[in-house]
Amino acid sequence: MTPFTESPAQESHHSAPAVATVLLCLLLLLIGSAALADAPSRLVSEPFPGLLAAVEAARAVDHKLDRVGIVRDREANAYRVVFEESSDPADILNAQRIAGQAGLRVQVVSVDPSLPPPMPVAYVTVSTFTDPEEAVGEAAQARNRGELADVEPVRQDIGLTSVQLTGYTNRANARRVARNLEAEGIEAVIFSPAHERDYVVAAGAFRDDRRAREQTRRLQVLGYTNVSLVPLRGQVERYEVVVVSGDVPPGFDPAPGVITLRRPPPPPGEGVLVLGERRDPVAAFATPAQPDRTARIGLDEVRAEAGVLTDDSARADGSHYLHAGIVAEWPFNDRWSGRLAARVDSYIQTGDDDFTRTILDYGESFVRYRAPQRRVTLGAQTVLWGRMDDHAPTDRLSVQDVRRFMLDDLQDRRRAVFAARWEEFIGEYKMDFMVIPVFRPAEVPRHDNIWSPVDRSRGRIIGMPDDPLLSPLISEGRFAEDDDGFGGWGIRLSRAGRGFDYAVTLQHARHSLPYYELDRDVRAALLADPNDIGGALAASSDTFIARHPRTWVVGGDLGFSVGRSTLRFEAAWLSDHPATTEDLRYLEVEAFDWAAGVEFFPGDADLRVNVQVGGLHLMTSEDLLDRENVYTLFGDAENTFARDRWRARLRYSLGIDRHDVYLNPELAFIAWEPHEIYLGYHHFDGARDTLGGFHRDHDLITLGWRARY
Amino acid sequence: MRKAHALLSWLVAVCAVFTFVPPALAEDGAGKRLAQQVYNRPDGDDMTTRGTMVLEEQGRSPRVRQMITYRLDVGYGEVWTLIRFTSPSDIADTGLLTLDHADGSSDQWLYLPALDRSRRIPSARKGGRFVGSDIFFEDLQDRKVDMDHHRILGDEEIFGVPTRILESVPVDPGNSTYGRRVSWVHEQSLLPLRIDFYAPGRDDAPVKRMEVHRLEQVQGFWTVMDSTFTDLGSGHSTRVVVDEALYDRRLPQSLFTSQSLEDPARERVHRP
Repeated sequence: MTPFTESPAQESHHSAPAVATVLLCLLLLLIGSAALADAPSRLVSEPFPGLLAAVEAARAVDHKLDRVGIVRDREANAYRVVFEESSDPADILNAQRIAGQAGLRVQVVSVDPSLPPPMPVAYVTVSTFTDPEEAVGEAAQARNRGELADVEPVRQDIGLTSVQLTGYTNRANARRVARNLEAEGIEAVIFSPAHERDYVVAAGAFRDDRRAREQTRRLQVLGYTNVSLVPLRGQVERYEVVVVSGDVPPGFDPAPGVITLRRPPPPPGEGVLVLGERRDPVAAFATPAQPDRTARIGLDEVRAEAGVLTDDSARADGSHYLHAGIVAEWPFNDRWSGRLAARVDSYIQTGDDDFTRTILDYGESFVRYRAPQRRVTLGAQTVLWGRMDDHAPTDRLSVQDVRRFMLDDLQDRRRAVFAARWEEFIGEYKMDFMVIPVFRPAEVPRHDNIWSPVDRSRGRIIGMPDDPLLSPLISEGRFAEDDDGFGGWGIRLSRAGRGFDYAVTLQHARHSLPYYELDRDVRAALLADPNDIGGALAASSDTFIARHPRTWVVGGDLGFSVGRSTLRFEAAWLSDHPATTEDLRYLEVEAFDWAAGVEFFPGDADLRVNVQVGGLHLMTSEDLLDRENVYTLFGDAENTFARDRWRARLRYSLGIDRHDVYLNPELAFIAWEPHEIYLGYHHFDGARDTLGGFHRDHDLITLGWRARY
Repeated sequence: MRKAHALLSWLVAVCAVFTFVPPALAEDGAGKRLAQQVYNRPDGDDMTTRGTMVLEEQGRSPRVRQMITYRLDVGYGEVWTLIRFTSPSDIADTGLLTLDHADGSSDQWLYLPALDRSRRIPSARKGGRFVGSDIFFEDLQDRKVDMDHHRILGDEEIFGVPTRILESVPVDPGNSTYGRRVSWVHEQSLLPLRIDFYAPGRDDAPVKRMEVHRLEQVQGFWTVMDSTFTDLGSGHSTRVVVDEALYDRRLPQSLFTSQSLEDPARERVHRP
């Protein structure tokens, strides 16, 4: 090794031998230069035992030399930095000067053409491994790619915070806890500390205190109250794989473990890159996020709607609606929470039959328990099973609200019911069990309301054909409710996972909507003398009884996507569906209720179209007044425009086998969040025994405002 | 293989991968290599962000959506994400769960709190605006490198920062709502600092532009903290700001299930 050093300045006195020496040196230099011109030389560093040390030496001359590389010196089992390789002595001298300024020890060597060329130090990655074999493998892969790689063991002093569950007196308990943790994706190790009899389950050790606290919180959420944080100190052995590449390597890691020699670090500070002018902090616009775990009390939803009936023959000229809901929620702890909700609804009808009716009701009010694999809810709750929109054949345990017929969206057509619900989660599967101890019938408007299923002025019941025998009884009779007793129960096994979702269900439920049975005594009197309406009415204290028959429900649903569409199917068999024979006898028959639908986005744009077909089949050999087969096309189409400031929507329900039309176009301004102002139209038409036909005089224009807080 | 996917910082990384080139232009090896590097860029085993999306339009008050996003790199090419909106109140608790599989297929569910139901939605959907923003559903989806032809167009500085210009064109024009994308890739972070989006058949001018305003190293991972998507036709823009980002928190797989999607309280304990 020959370090290059500055020669001391010569004294200005020359002797003959000195002159001869100088001449000889010049001659040798000329000869040497000629030799250099023919064979390139390298200016190399001293050997470094590790690759990273060689990289550091290369970094010392970064941006000053263009052709810095590193070669492996097999004889010395070391690495050398090649600062310059050139046939031009001036290049070598220049590199020597720069390296000297950087304090590096260098020497000129001749180039051995049989050895590989130096690896340009363009990108250096340093990856740390805990497993030495993995580190060696990584280095081997890099060498196979033609890169320079080395494994360097390092020892690091570290401080850790161990998250531990303590106080298990026997190993079996500790093992059970460890299994439960591992089911949650938490690695757990059991050990028994020295001088202690108890077992400890270690649920991770963290260098970052924040992560340790997060882990603690997770464990507390899972119900463990015996969590301890234990500081640990120790030394770990790591294996750093240093890879030097001339080009951007695959999986290039720009994190702090990487040194890029070609690019300066980004301004203004390390690890931060700001482009362009400073922008306003977005927090200036933002609504504060809802706190994660705090009690909440306040308005939930408010709505006001004015409705004008367009048909002069209607019994009313206006149907208006006011609604407000309040809610209070308390997360008692990570497992328990409570909720209380109430609602007030005002129904205002103007015209011949005018009234204002305000009704206070409870909303979803319950106590809820959460564990990793289950959720238990006790109290008033709204549960919608099924998959189809608007009408799900297996949705048989929810309480319907038809006080406004079907003017509202599905979520607004359901009420809470007191129930106990147990949801058990097993991987992709969910077992949902619900018991309703006391039946709650559907919310139905009074008979003076145009949306009532009973039209006493014209002697008609919705869904039934006009019957000259029944009409006077409907107009003048008395209606009673049969809504006492047990509400029912149901179990639903559902799966949401890769490719498709499905559910199967078994329920013992009661029909939420009333079905009006003609009293047996009244029927007998009527059949005895069809012209004696007064006698028939006098035969019983009640003319009609609103039945909610119990039924077994066996059903299922399926959903999957094909391309840019989602397909849904749902069906239910019902053991008991109410019906009336042509001779006015009430009976309960088997029924099959099904629906199939597709949701898609035409043109792959914002328009969403939902097309569903449904059918209800009453399976009996009796001759019925009811329609034995009902086929309906129903669904909705929705589009937002003007950057989501406006929403246009059409809900529809069209009879396939019978003229039956319900159309509800609506235009809403939704940019004033969380408020929404909408203008809608509800159009009804159809045969007299259809839903649309029953309300054919009730076409309605609505203007409304709603807000959700 | 790590995948860049989801909404906030990783959004731009995904966008960079599918830039367009007219089909007539041949792919070059360097372009594909850079696209692959962007796709493979280190982004942790999991990521959690708390972010804000601001929909801005000239002369109108901005609309703000706040959300929490979670991403889990399950391994073997599986990436799962969960987005939960926290405000405004009319969409609070709405959630979007996406499971991207190694074979390129995906499953996606949307949770609607008003109905307390989640519904499967077609993950193949490309067009359509995400919550009314300038971000299309395609921008949120994982896109494999091989789905596009890539080539390098050159080098250019953006605000003094050197970048490589990567152009990508879908191999199958039917699987993208864009005709071409040009990304200005910052080689150190392997994140695009700007992306120009071109409509199919309209190579003259981009229709949309994504610009990064702030990149930050969080736990060693380069993260887009502030970016804007601008509709160049209307001037409407969507600014996406990451208020907080955390990596490698060992998020549990149970967070990415319909159970967590349908129960915000379960997800809430994982919020930063």
